[in-house]
Amino acid sequence: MSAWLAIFRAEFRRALPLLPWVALAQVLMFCVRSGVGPVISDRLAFWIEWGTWLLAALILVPSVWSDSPSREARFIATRPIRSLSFHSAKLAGLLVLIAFPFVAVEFASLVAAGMSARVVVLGTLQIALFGLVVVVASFPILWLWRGRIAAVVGVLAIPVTMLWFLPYLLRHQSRLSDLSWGRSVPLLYAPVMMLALAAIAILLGCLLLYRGRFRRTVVTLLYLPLCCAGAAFAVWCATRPLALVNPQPAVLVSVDLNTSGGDPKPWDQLSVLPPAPAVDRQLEVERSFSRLVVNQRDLSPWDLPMLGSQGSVSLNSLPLQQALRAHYGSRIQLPANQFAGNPGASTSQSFDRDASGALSFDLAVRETVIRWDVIGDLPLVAGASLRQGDLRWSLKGRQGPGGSGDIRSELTLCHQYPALWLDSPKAPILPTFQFFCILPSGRVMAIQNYWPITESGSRSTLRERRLTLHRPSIHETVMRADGAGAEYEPPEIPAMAMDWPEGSRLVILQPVPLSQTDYTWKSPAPVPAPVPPLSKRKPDPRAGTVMEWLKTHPAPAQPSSAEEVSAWLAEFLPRIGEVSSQSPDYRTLFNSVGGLVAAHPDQVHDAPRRNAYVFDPADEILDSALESFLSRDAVQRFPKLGEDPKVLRIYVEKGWGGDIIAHAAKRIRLGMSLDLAELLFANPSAVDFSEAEWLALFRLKPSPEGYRALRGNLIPGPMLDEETDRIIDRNFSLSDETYYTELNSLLELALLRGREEGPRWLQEWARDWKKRPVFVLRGKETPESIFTDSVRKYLRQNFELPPAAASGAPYDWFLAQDPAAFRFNPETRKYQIP
Amino acid sequence: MITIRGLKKRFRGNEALHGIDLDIPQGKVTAFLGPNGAGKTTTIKCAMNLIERDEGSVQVLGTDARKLGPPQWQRIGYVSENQKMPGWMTVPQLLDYLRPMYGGHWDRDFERKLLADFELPMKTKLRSLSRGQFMKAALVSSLAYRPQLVVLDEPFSGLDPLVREEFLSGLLELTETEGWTVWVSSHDVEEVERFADRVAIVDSGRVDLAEDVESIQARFRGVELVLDNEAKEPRGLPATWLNFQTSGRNARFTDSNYEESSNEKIRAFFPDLVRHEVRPLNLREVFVALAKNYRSQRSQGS
Repeated sequence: MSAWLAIFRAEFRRALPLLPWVALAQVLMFCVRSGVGPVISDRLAFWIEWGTWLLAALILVPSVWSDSPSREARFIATRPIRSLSFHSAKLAGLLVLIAFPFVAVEFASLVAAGMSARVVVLGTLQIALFGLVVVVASFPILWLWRGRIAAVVGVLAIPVTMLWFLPYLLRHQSRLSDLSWGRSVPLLYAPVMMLALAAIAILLGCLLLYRGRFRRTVVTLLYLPLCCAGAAFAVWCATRPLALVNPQPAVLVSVDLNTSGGDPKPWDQLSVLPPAPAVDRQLEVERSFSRLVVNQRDLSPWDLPMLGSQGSVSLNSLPLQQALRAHYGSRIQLPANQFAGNPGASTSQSFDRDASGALSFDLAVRETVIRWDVIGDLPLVAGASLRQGDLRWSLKGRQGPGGSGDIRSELTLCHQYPALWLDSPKAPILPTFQFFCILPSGRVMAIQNYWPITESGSRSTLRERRLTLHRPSIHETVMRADGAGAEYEPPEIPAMAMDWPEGSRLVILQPVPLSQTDYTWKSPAPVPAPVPPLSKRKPDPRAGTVMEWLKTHPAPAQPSSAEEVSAWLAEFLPRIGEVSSQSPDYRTLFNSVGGLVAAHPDQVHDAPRRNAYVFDPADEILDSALESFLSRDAVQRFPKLGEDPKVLRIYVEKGWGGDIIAHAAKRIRLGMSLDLAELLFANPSAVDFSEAEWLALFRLKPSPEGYRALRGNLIPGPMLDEETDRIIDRNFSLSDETYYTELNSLLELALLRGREEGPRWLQEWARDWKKRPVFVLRGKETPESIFTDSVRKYLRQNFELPPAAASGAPYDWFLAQDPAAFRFNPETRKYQIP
Repeated sequence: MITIRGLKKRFRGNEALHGIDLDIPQGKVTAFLGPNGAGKTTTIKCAMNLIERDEGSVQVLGTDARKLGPPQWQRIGYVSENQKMPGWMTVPQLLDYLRPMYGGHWDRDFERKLLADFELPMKTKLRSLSRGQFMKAALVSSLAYRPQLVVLDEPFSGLDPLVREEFLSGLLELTETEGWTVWVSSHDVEEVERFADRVAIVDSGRVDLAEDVESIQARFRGVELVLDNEAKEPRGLPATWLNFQTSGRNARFTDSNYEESSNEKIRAFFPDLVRHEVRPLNLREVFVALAKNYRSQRSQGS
């Protein structure tokens, strides 16, 4: 026997007492991963997995430690064996003892789970690579320890070092929270693993650089950059910004920036919406950030977007219903659909403001067009399963015995899927599956599921997500124009029933990405950040003493200086406690502030920002006073006021919109105050927008007023007509559960555009008004009156009515006509019957 | 077999070896003596390339110690009191593990003889062996291939007298029959005297004496003088007279270079000599005399 074999055999002899335990642990691991055998709880599965790794460590560490060349007492140092032979034999032994069982179990699990050959090969390679890295890396790590104390210090210091390094390497503190085990983010394990090595290596460098032999120091110095380079590469792979897909500059976007308050850093909710996409309404559009740089700080997302998780993925979603109808045909019953709208890309972050408290954005919004496909269905009973390629869904758990109202039927849906980080660049988007129930009657209903999902098998190729499904109680109710509530609680299931009706099936839908576009946008100037909500601030202990105080400290008489007013407000506002807006005290306070608004609107406006102890009633009084007493020249005198949307809105409501057009245009260019688009459309000549900007504004805020203002004037007619057609095709549908107000505007736009279907749509709109949900009724309005009034208005504006009809009853005349008989006259831009 | 010249070693700025010069001649048992902390183990570790030397040269079996490789290690047997052996192995497993490394050099018959002589348990793990058994196992694993050079670093420390006797007698028998070169470090002088052909005494990182035992025993004498008057230390005593002490009319010293003519010198320095007695010294007495002498020299120097 050669010396190499003797050392190899010795490794086995050393591990012999542990081998039965290793075998048992690996068999249990196989059972957990392949689903063979009894169902094991998550906690037990967790301990089995970690126990297996602990056993591996118990084999690895003593083996490497026992003959560490860093120790002078090493036994093997005075024996006739070359270092290469010794270590290669040891490494081979450890690979067989440690890596091989994991690889074998992984291979067997993947085969037993029925994975494809590609997944079996890649999955086995993944775990082999992981095992190789662990074993190979542990050699220099353990060799370089000089003693047990250093090792203990190192083991304690490694997590600290990692925590210290991660924020720097990942460039943003908030991403620490993303590093939870068990996430399905590809490449997660590689950076964490490599980072651990880097941390160890750096620590070793500190421990060893000034102690030890020259050769060992050289090894350390070589090993250190090697680990760091590996870690940096892996982190770069995992955190590099997503490559832009079909990048297109967005001329204008809608930026919705709110702050949730809190000290010392308020968290901001940012939502950015590029102009609406030109895609079929049967397809869903999702948006996420693919680049986000705020005040020169790159906050680009680390996670890949989860496809199919945004927007209103409910049973009312038109694209979802389209998929269900395409798969099941007419035998299923679906609720009325709702158009999901155009949700923007959104994120919640803590943004660092610049010195003036503003934010500059350089971002890219990724727009993904999705089609929903039905993967299949399975009976809603425990034990049922469905497979599609390498994906498998199975239902586990118990079904309630029935009869007792307080026991809920519970099923757990297990979704098994392969996580291939070796293959991740080819699958950059992770799908979020959707689940619905089809009752025996054909009615489709939503399922209450409980998130977050649990996930297991974090170090295995085979991952499993589990989702607890509960039978729903009552679905949301939508009020319709006729006052009836539309409930989706199916009559087949009584409210207190527990079990799914026999024959119910679980249907699974998968989002399929069709195209992706990145809209890039840079804010032309810093965007003023909103003030944290006042409700987050603490009330002053003096609150409630204002009336007493006011007796001795009346508001400064005019003329007074800004300083005097500021000082008085600083004393006055914190003393305001709970005051009812109906009480005489409220009026007194309101008048006190109101007297200051005309001369010093800036002081009143800025008071909440300057005074920390201002809460809701005081804020309301300040707002009311500004609204009532603001003078028309306020923005002219204090241009800073023109940055506040609240002030601009007061100007519009008072009919002074013409005075603030420049301010409104400036804010719209920053992506803010898009609701002031009407103001710009009303006075387009006062705005220096380019044709592209006008078109983008119209796409963001399509309106009849915009169409009238822009067509043939600032945007060529055919171009605007084409854009209008796209907007109408994507957004307008009379079969949707869309609210009256939204449809109203689109219908008017369709009539203005001269769409051929316009008269038909108007007739359907007039006849089926009872189907339309109505938001709010004002004064003497009834649902019927608001529809008939609208129809009369549209007839007057967009139809050439016969004289008799015009003077008589145009509504009845119009409903009696064949809508196909109407022709649109491009000259008069009205419909007429030839 | 081993030639050390000007060997220096520092630990965190403290110089442990101040320039060791030492020869370990072939076929002899050389005892490396010195008090604790004198630098014995550091010297051996430098020679075995277990720690790196800072200065000087060390040749082992004609090779620079830094370049010792398998061909040399097949001819060297090294046993140290600090040596860590794989405690999870039994003695046979240890020998199975090592045997292939030595190829044809390993003598199975000799291994069996050693195992039988040392009466080692075969089924007990090394970590469970007593200190004496552990050292015997180490010795078996380092002698079974009949090394030309045996280096033993404090092999007797921690052994009880009976085991020490067994260990020593076994080693003595082997060295006599095999004719090995042995370099053994110890602070137990009396036991070394029983088998050492040569002695090197190291103190404070320097070799003070390196000589054959016979030569030392021939050279060193204890001299006691009885004078007519009260004894006083005369000026200009020879440097070879160590540790001169007086007490009343008596004086005593150690002559480190005793010859027939030494008596003449004594009479010349002490005219009122009544009588004198010269007796041979054992190795322990020589060691003590030298140690005392160096201590007094150091105190005078400081």
